[in-house]
Amino acid sequence: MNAAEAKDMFRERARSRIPLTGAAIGSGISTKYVLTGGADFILSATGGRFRCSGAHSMGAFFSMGNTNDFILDFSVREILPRSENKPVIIGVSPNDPHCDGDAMLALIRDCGFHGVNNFPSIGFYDGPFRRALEKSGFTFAREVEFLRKAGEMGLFTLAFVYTPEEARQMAEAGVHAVCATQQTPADSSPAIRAGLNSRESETRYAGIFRAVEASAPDCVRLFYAGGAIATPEDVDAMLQNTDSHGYIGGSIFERFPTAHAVEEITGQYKKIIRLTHENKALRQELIRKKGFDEIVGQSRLMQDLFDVVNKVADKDVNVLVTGESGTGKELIVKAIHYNSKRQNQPFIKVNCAAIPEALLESELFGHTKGAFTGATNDRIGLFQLADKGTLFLDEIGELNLGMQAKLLRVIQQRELQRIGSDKFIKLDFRLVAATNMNLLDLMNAGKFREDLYYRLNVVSINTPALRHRKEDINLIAAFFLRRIADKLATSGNWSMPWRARPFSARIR
Amino acid sequence: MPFADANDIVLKMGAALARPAGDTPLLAGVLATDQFRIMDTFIDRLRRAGYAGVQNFPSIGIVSGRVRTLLENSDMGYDCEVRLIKKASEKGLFCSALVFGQSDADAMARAGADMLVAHLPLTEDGDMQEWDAASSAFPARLRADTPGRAGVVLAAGFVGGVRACGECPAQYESLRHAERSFAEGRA
Repeated sequence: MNAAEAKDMFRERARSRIPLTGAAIGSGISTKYVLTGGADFILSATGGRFRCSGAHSMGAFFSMGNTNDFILDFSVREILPRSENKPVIIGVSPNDPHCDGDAMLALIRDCGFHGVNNFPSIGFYDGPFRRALEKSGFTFAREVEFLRKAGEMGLFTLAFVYTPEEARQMAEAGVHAVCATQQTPADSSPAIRAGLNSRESETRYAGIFRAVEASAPDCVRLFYAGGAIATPEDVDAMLQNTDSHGYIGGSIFERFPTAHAVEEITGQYKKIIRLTHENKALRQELIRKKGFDEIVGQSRLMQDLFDVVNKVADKDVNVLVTGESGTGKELIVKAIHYNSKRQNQPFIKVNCAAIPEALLESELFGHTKGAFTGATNDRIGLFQLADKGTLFLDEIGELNLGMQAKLLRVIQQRELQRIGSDKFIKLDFRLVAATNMNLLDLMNAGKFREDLYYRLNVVSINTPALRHRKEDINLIAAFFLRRIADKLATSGNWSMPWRARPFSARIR
Repeated sequence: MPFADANDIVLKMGAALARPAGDTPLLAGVLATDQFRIMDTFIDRLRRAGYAGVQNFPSIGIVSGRVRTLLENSDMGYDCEVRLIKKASEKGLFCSALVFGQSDADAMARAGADMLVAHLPLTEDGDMQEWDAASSAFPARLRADTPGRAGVVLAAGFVGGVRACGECPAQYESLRHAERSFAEGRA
């Protein structure tokens, strides 16, 4: 589309009364998405760039840089390349003392802009300050003349006006479109916007449109949405109630939705990461409570042991924990369970040495009512209770060969029959066994089945005795002292030696 | 007006002026409403550039009408300039504050300004008689109401620039008159 086609498009839309939507924006990304949303034209303005910088768009009126250099820089690099053949109008100020108006217009045309606009306009100011500016040579008349020349050069011209008088001047200069605007806090807080009255804007804009129509009936009449006109419904009402052909939006497209979306999405990410973190922290706390941090030691042997536990915990393999009594086998087994995927499932411990042989089968596999004398009810066995979780068989070396055979079958088949039942029950459990006996010796002596041994011993972990890790003694002593101290602090009704020396002796 | 970066200009001028200024204190006019600079670090840069102090210039105090109200409601108001003076004062710089009425003077005095420069409303044609009538006793009253200031200088706003008029003569009629003129100017 060239400038002439842009003019035709505006004229045709005004004639057909299909409202024009213009987007006053300041970045490439805004250009892309307002066009996807259906904007009919782009007004590249420094106010938009200020918004995108997180600054207030009114900054565009103050001495923070040269507005014309600023707008040309990002409009050429970001906005024109993404304009998808829609008209792009650039807002420049002919009041810039360094600006040669003719050269500026030639540059604008050569860069490929379809039209030009007077932003930031002197019309923004009012009162004595405005009069002082006018007397100092910063005049609205200069803007009128600039747009008149732009039109003569073939560019589309869009004039921002704040009063009916300014509208009249621009219309008489032959601009193609006039946009009625006002000094409203277009991108201020919702609280400020709530205090604005859209009827006031309506009256003001209607006065401007009347002035335009009286001077140039063919001139396209637009209004600037913002301030009290902040929603699609507000815009629609303004279109219905005024004699306008469309509108231009800045903050309503570029700032309000972006601010909301960025805030919302960031919050969602933050929330989920925080929840994950909290969840992890809670899991760690649980693990600490259930054994892992009770395993005390910094020695090389213990570091290796922690490594193995960490590596094996999440693998669904059988583990055999060996070691002398009192070396912490059960703590290791718990650590494996609570660091595994099954940590939220049952952890069932069976001490094979503590259950009488006659009862062991029933305890492990369960029974049906009447399966044997005294079986007055159905009973679920410990294997079944451990379904989806971990079954810990302590003192596995104490099992007799008969039980070993039955156990082997359950481990291999992952199914069992309750005593007295002919039904097979499928199970999913992880088996960890522990013993203080040397299973190899038992195997050689024919007291432990070889096939069961290799089934259990997929991974073997040995818990070292304290005599093999003397460097841990201080730590372990401190650990127990801390426990004793905690107990003393919370227990108030036992005979306490209240003097230091007997107290020390007691601790010793 | 948005035709140059005021703070960048003053920073660069520091390097050029510090040597010729010699022992004469050099003050930087700072646009306190600059949205692209952190004033805290900018003041440090000014000091390194050779400035002994700051003044809130260009000031939005001369902006009137609806725009002024808009600025005050958008955190781009005179309060930015008060914060500039406070920060510069805390950093030990000499602080000259342009004030446009008694409330500005009070705020700047509290912020630690060393000197208050009474800035009278803009006169549209540079008519001294009009300005004399408007100025009244503003500076004298400032001296009385904000004690402890090093000095009060009277300045008048003219189209095309601001002229410092030195110490205020005592013949002005009343501060109220000046403030009323100022308020009308704002409205």
